[in-house]
Amino acid sequence: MSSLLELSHELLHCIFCGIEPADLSALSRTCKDLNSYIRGNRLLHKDLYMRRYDEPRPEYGELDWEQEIKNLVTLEEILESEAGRDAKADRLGFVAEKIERLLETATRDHEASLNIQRLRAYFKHTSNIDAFLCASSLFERAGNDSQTPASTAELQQQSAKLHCLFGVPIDPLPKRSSLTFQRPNLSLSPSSCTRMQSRTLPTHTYARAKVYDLRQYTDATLWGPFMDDGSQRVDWEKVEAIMIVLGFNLNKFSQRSDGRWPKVWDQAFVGATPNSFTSHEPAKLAPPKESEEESEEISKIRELALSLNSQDPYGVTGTWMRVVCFLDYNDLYAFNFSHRIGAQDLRDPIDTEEGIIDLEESLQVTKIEAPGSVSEDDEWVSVDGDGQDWSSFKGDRLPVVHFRGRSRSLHASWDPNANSAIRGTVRQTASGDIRWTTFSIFHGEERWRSEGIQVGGIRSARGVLGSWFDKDYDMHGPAGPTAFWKVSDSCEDDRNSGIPFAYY
Amino acid sequence: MSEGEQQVKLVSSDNVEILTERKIAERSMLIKNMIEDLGAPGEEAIPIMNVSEAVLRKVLEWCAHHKNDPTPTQDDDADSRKKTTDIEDWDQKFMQVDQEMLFEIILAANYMDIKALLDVGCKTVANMIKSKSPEEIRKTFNIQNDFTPEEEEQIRRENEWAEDR
Repeated sequence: MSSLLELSHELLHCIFCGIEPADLSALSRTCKDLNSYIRGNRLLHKDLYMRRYDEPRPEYGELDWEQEIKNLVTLEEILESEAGRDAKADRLGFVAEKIERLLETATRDHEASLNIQRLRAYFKHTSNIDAFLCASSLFERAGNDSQTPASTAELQQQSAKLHCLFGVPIDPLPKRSSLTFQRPNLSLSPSSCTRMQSRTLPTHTYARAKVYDLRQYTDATLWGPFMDDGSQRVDWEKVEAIMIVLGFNLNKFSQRSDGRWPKVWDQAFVGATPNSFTSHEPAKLAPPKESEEESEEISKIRELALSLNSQDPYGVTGTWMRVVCFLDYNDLYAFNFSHRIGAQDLRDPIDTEEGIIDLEESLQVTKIEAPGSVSEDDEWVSVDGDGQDWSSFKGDRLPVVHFRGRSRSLHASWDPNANSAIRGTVRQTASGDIRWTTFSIFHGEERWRSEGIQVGGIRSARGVLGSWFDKDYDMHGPAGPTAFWKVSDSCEDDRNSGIPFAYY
Repeated sequence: MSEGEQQVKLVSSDNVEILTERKIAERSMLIKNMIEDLGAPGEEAIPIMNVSEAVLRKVLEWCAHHKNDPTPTQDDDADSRKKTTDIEDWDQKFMQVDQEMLFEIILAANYMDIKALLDVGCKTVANMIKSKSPEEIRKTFNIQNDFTPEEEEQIRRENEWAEDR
């Protein structure tokens, strides 16, 4: 008489590879034989993992597959559940942590990634969007009634980060009929006034009030999307606000351009994984023009450039798109300095129309320095270190890469801010985030600086979100949000001349 | 007569001779290798020692239906890891047998080295497990609950991550 329990372990393995991870628990509770077969069965758990999720890259080593499966079963049960926003919100910390891990370990090609497909399907549900993506402190005032901040600052950060990784700004139009913008009634106290008004205004108005609040541009935040404590830890609530504001402007810009400017940031989780950028053009410097002999000097420069590129872990060299948004200076000044508010009070939401500049930047690596090298641009860090706490850093530290390049306006060439030279650095922070610093140089003089963080980690397709400001840190501004993302490994300039442009 | 239409003689564990086309029999890698070793197919009967007549006939029925399937390559194998547990209609009907026969087919497919049939058998059993509670699984496969109440409670707690079934 043949039965399930009489099968060899090899055959049980064949059968159990066809169940879902969630079935393991029930199976292991049926009887002692199956319990002892399943418990501690590394190979079975690993095979089930590989069938359902992307195989983590080799650098992750051998994982505790049994624990991984347990965690992911729990994650999927939470995301799948009909429990509604409130019950789900209690699990925000766990959910954020596990989703980050699924993204980190995802296959670089998003179309082939089981992890990304799975997550995208779950985040079609409003209750998941509300509970996990709309729980930063921004949603104290913004969002709809089922979007409220998580209980702790840490959870609010985790939710903001998840929203950034999701990458499609959650900014629905207000449902009520009053689509016209209502000025807050200033005769009421600020808090009651915002409470009453809040649910009628789109989220981007609150995000804009955060992004253009010059009080958050300080030495401690490096004037970028960092925590206000000099630690260089990313403040994901700032990144989130930047994403929402830029997303709103880019969307509007794309609509007005009649499709000439393609939509961006409309695909959930795509590009938010390490190494997800792939170039459609091969990474190579153009060959020298046939008519002229390449001089020895130029061929040396070319070799040097290629060797620098091969040592650059961040994939700097190539063509990037950048978007910069700004408030008219009078609007920015009035918004920040026309009335006095308490240090902790939030500024009122604004829907003032911003300017937008789209740039194409060609960047090339010029120098690579050892990890932890302090650049002269970081005035605020002490000489004996970079001011960060590296005690909990894991893995190999990445070098500091310097680059130079050119920036070209995609609108009118007469725009005085459009065409410039660029220089900058990219480095890794103690938390493992990829931090980009750039300077725009006009007629040999540095004018604007930007600080940003690469969303999705190293070589992500999503690119960098951050802020721009006066390189001399003028507390009266101007300042605003900026983003840039890579479009090609080859440089526009390569095609025009045989000489690597950083030579000029 | 082409090689495929040659007849081969198989002998089941209960000593019944079954004649079948060589092409059908060679779905089994065990038989294919034996024929190659024997050299003169058709003359000598091939013993299938672990498989009874009833099961062997059933297995050959499957082989006859699938005799023209392409031989799976290494690539297909790697690919099947990502595949769902879908079973094609004919196979699904073919597998509608009592549980004892189902497990006998799996054992025979394993012994006779017929990978595709083994897969279909395992998927069929896997589908019988999916989305069931422990008690439902016990009922389906006639499994005795041999946990003491204390052990059961302990295991339930260990598995709290998948509690709501």
